[in-house]
Order: sequence, then C-alpha cells, then structure tokens
Amino acid sequence: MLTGRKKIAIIGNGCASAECLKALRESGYSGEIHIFTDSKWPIYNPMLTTYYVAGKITFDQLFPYGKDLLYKKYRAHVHPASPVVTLDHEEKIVVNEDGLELKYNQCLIASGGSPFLPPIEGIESNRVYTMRKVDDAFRLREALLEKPEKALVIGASMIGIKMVELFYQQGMEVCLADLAGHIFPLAAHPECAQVIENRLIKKGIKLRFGAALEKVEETARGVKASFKNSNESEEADLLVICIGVRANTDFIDQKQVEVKQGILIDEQMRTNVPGLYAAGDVAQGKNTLSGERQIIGLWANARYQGRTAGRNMAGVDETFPGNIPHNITHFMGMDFVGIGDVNNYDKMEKKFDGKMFIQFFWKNGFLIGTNFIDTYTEAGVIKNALINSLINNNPVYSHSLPIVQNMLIKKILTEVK
Amino acid sequence: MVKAIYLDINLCCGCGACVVACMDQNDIFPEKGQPAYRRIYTMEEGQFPNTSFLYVSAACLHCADSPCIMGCPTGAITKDRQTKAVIVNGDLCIGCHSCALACPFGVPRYDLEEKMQKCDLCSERVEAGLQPACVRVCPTGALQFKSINKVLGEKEFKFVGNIVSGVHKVTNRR
Repeated sequence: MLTGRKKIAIIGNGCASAECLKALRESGYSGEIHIFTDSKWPIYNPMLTTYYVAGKITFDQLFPYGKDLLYKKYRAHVHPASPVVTLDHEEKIVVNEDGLELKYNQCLIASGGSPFLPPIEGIESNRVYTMRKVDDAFRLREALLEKPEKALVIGASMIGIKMVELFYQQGMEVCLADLAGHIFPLAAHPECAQVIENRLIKKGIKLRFGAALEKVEETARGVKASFKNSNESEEADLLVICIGVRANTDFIDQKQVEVKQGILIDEQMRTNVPGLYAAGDVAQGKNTLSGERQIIGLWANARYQGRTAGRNMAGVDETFPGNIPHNITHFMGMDFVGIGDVNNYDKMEKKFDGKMFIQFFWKNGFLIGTNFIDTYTEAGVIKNALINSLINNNPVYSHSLPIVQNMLIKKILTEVK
Repeated sequence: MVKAIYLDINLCCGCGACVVACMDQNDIFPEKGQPAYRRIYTMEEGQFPNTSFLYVSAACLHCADSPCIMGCPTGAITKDRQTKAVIVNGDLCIGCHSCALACPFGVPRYDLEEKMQKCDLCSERVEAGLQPACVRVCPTGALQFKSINKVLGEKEFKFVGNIVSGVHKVTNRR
C-alpha cells in the first residue's frame, strides 16, 4: 500500500479532475496527487465525440488538455485503465481493479457519468449506439464506413440533435424520436420547439414525439424499434440512444455518502464526509434558480467545480455559488439557446420575425429563463445578468453592473417588449 | 507591466475612428460578412428634461478570469502569459458558440467559416512597441493603453479630487 507523504486521490479523468489538479498546484499544494481512471485515454471532452465522428476535428483534438503534458507539468501520478472498485472513506483508502491501494488525506470524486440505456428488450443489440466516450466514437465511425442509409435517434437532447445533424450531413435518412412532446423538452418552450421542429421537417427529418421505446429487434437490414401504444415501428440501419446520462457512483457507499441523482455537494464542493469532495457530472451542486441541488452536466460547470474543489483542498477558502441550466447548440444552420427555467413563469414575452426568435420568461418580476433561435449575440449578456440578479436578489439590470452590460440588457429587453 | 485598453467614458464622443482603425489593422471587410471587433454603443438615460447620453466604445475586455476560456470545449481560447490578452486559436475553434453563451459582454462573433473572431489587444503592434490601433487614432484621448495599476491610481486620484473640491465648494458657500 502506498503510504507516507500527504496524498490526494482524484477519481476520474475529465475536465473537473484536470482543473482540480491545476488548482491544487497553483494554490501551493506540494504533496502527491494520484489520478485513478477507468479510461486509457487522456482527458477528453465528451461533447467533441460527434465532431470527431463527423470528421470536423482530428483525433488529437478530442483531448483539449493535450496528451499527457498536464500530468507532467502539474506532477500527477496517473493510474489508467482500471476503475475504482472500493472507496473506504472512513479509513481513507481507495482501491482500483488492478489491486492498487492508496491511503489518502483528501479525495475528489469526479468520475463523471455514463449514457443511460432504458432496461428494455433487445437494448444490448450491437446495432444500438451511444455517444459519450472515445470508444463510442470509434464504434460509430466504423458503422458509418458501411454506408448506412437510415438512422434512428432516440432522445431529442443536445447530443441527439448533433447526431441528427451528423447523419443528415452524411446524406442519410434520419428519424428523431422522444418520449417528450417536443424537441429539447428541458431547455425549450413548446412554442420555440415548434419553430425548430418546422425547420427540421423542412429538411426532411422525420420527427416522432410522445414515443416511448418498447422493444428493439435485430432485422436483416439492421434494427427495428417498436414504441408503446403504436403500431408503427421504425426500421433503420442503426439506432442511437441519447436520453441522458447517469452519474457513475457504483463504488460509493451510499449509506455514508449522501447521494441522490449524484453526490450532494455544498458551495465548496464538499460532500457530507470530511475530506471527500465531488465535482463535475457526478456531483449535484446548487441550482441558483430553484435553490435545489441538481446535476448540471456542462463542461464549464465541471471545470469551475473542479477548480473550486482543488483550491479548497489546498486550503484556499473559495466558494462557487452554483449555476443554472444553460445550453447553446449550433446545428443544421441554426442556433438554439436555452437558459434557466422556461416552464414555471407568470409572464412571457416573445418576438419572432420569421427567422430570429426570442422568448423571455418572468416570475415575480425576475427574469428566470430565455429561449433564442438564430441570435446568439446577447445570449451571454442575458445569462450572466440572470445569474447576477439571482445571486444579488436584484432586477436584471442595475447600477452595480458594468455600463456596457446594462445597456445591452436594456436594449434587448425593450426590443422584445 | 501588464497594460490594458482603458476608456474614459466622459471623453468618448462616438466618432467611430477606433472602429475604422481596428478594421484597417485587422483587415476586416464587413461586406464579406466579417465581424468588427470594436463597436460603439449609445446609451440613453432618463426622461426629458433630465436626460443623459453616453457613447461607449467597446471590444473584448480580456477579463482576468475569463469565462470564455472556461467555456471553450476545445482549448482554442487561451490567455497570453505576457500580455494577458485573451487569444483565439482559429485552428482549434469548432464554431460551437459556447463562448458566446459564456461572455457577459456579448463579444464573440463568428466569421463565415464559423471561427470566433475578436480583439487580440493588437498583439502584433504591442509586441513591436506600438499602441493598439484604436488607441492611436482616438482624437479625444478617451481610449488609452496604460498599465492597469496606473489607471486605477488615476481613477482614485480623480475621485479623491472630486471629494476635495466638493468639500471646498460647501465650505466656501458657508
């Protein structure tokens, strides 16, 4: 067993781990840092897998932190290709599949998430694909070499729409299905979704909403999917499932560590167990809009959480006040932005000129959410104003903000009014 | 010493010379769909007869802890170690617009190849010991290229000066 000097264990090898590692060293931590990961790859960005499959980026570009420069620069010991099997947080020991045991002083869990597959008949078919890991990208790239003609995408999510775009650009026939009633069920208001759906239909994409996948069968062509309460099944060469991600928490003793959908953390990324931190897609931090704790699975969010954890582990007192759900996705010649809450509003404002679509959602005089189509220029301004107004309990524009920001906010708000 | 572009909001008259100089320096052709890095905003306040009107010339602010760097999924945006300018590597940019959602000032714009374009603090000129193009051309001296500490010091000095002259006015009246 490795004992001796001060040790920090980081479980997981994504951007939250990377930012934690950087923050630890930059804050003056000089002890050992051990990174445990089930992956054999350097730190990659799951969002880039679709870009790689589409040939828009090279293989090396999947790894935004480079191949292993980061570990060298910040002096980390990496234990790759072996998942953590036990985490004994009382004895402070982490054990991986290879049998390596490490006694740590502090530990960060940043094990991320895995694509969720519904427990239905036939789901294990090798014509069923997911898209998150490097190996998922390899598998799909190989499948595309066989020149498939039709794809079925289950899950009208941000990743789902990128899959649709990818197949569409390959000249394939595409069907997009989801249990929800419209596209981007969490991020888009039904009226906004309608605008997007009309554009997709015009491009020849087949849409099936309110469709619950019931069974998957392999056929001579590829795969056949049947839906609940529907006689119309869908046959395709391949099937991609992107209905969400589940936190990787198998190795955690849930009787001791508080876990709901993810590991519950406070504003300093601490779990309920002393010396144990969590960050990234495995962690349930604060949603500043609802006040509840929620997994907000975004690249930047994971980085901020990892950095905050690292600084705190190194003894710097820092808080990350939380985040709100926000997405921007650029697909099939359009931009969609969804920020905050688009469902529980008491006032809605809308502007649509045939191309550009803007929706603002208000509650008790506070801006709580927005939808934009084909106008991204003020999206960041509005998002930051919304977060600031929540944190400071102020209206969206106030004299505490920089003058340019105030003006941009005012301009777009009055334009929509 | 780290320098930044500073705008004295009371001196900006919205003439647009900085915008033109910036386009010239960076070979930007708006008619070809290339976005300008620097823009002039007008700001109206109040209602007649108590109104104010301000012009603001703005480009990337090169934030200390830049949200766009944290938001970029490919590592295309970085901070220059020496000049502290926020720089975009066009080869790595995939045009995903993540930086647009991260920036609190609405700075990121994209060219026809969907690469993010913005002010790079005139790195080329500054390295050669020159001032940024927008600063060089500003006729009122509203835009200045100065060390951050100096700007803050001057602001403080002005602020204290205002208080002192205010106190003088009050005591003289007595």
